[in-house]
Amino acid sequence: MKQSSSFNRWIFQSYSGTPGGLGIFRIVFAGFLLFFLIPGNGTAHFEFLSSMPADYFNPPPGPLRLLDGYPPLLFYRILRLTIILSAVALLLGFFTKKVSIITGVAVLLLQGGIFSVGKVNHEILIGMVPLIMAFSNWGAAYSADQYGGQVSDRSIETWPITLLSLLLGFMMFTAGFPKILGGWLDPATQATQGHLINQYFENGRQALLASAALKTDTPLFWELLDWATVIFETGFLFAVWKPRFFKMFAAVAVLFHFSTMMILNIAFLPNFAVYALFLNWSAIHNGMKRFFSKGGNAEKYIYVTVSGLTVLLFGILKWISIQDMVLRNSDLMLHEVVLVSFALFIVIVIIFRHFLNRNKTVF
Amino acid sequence: MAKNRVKKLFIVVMIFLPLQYMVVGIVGFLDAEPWPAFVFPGFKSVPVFEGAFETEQKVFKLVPVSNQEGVISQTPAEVFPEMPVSQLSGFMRQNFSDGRDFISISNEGKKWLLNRAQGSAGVEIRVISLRTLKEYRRFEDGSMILDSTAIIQEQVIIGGE
Repeated sequence: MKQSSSFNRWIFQSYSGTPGGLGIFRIVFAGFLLFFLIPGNGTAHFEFLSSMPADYFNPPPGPLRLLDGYPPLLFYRILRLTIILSAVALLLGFFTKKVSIITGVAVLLLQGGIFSVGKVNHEILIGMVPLIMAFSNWGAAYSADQYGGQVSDRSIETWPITLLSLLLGFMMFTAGFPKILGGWLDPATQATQGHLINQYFENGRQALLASAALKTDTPLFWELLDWATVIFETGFLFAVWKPRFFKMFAAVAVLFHFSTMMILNIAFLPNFAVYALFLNWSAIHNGMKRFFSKGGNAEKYIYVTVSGLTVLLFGILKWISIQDMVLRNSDLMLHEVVLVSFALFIVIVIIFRHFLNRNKTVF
Repeated sequence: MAKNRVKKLFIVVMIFLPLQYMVVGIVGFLDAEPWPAFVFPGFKSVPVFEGAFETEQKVFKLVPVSNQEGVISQTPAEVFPEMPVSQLSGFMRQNFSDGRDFISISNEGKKWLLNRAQGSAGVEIRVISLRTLKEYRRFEDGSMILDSTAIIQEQVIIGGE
């Protein structure tokens, strides 16, 4: 009986939220997806894929094996357009639950088409966030549904956040566990350093601090990184049961990805869509309400401001990024560097505030 | 969603996740990593060989039709610039691995590759071969040096008869 009630508490009470907080997260997530997380590298990439003969079609084991060659260009174009339209609808909150599901399914299908080259990128969470959050009623506030009278129930569900934490924790474990088997904890070899050299020379990932790291021949430093990586990744799963610990792990994850980006030039931006979910959006919402309450009609001001700023800031960042003015010889994009660095800045601010005891609800 | 259904969903997911991880391990060992799956990349291997850091390079060797031009070397990234770097090594491993019997590539597949190579080299090509190299690096006097290079394999994909 006690076990059952703690299980219930874990599912339903691990995370708190408000319709306003979830509404703001939905807008930011939709903008993030729209500008930065649509699978693939755009039209040229899709034209390339659809031009490849069946000889080079190597779908991973799974439903894609039902196909006998690359889908036509129209397949990629329709899915990309579907994601764009549904992300816009998600941002504005039109038929939120339905478009959340459509967005998630379209992202997964497009990923499948891309991964048929014979290499799976581990970005399934991009699709899972809208698919699962569809059941949180994240369109209850700051949505066209709300203003159009489509929202009859303003109550939100937070179990989708717990479910996403379970998926993330488990997936992190699957990154850490093979490393133990592969010998990462053997003090005689330094795996992180080996992978740096691999990325540096095989994939040409030589931007940011990669060259400086390459010159670092201190086995103790690299061995500490090996151990820290394994402990952090496997520990994520055990933190799932304690939301406070999980949020700490999510904060450490941001630092982990930042260092991975600086040294290995791998940003892994999709994960940040999930980490962002564990920010205190209710506090952000309350702060906005206080700011906008002076002018009256705060709700609509927040809706317009958050939607407008999300589109404007992400749009400008994306535009600057694709100009290719910096990081020319790297597959790392400027927006990845800016967003991951910004996420680290947010984490540092949260930790600082936590220790100053100004906001006890951070972790 | 009713609380009982949510609880059942969680129980199903908690049973499903380790089971699918087992399947991923087995299928991945026998064939290739399946998709979709709830796993992140493991980067399991430790690319260190007898104290040296080992990297593998694949290079296309292109012989132009004109005898006046020498053999042209092109990296996979140059021949397939549209392919994201994150997928390129997997694509090369699947399609141009050492064990692959290039004879089985259809005429259409060979023509496509020839077009890609010619587009990348900017000249007409009559022979395409693939060289696989292993490079070994180590530290000496505080800097990394290329210790040795070994050609693992060189296979003709197109032409050469």
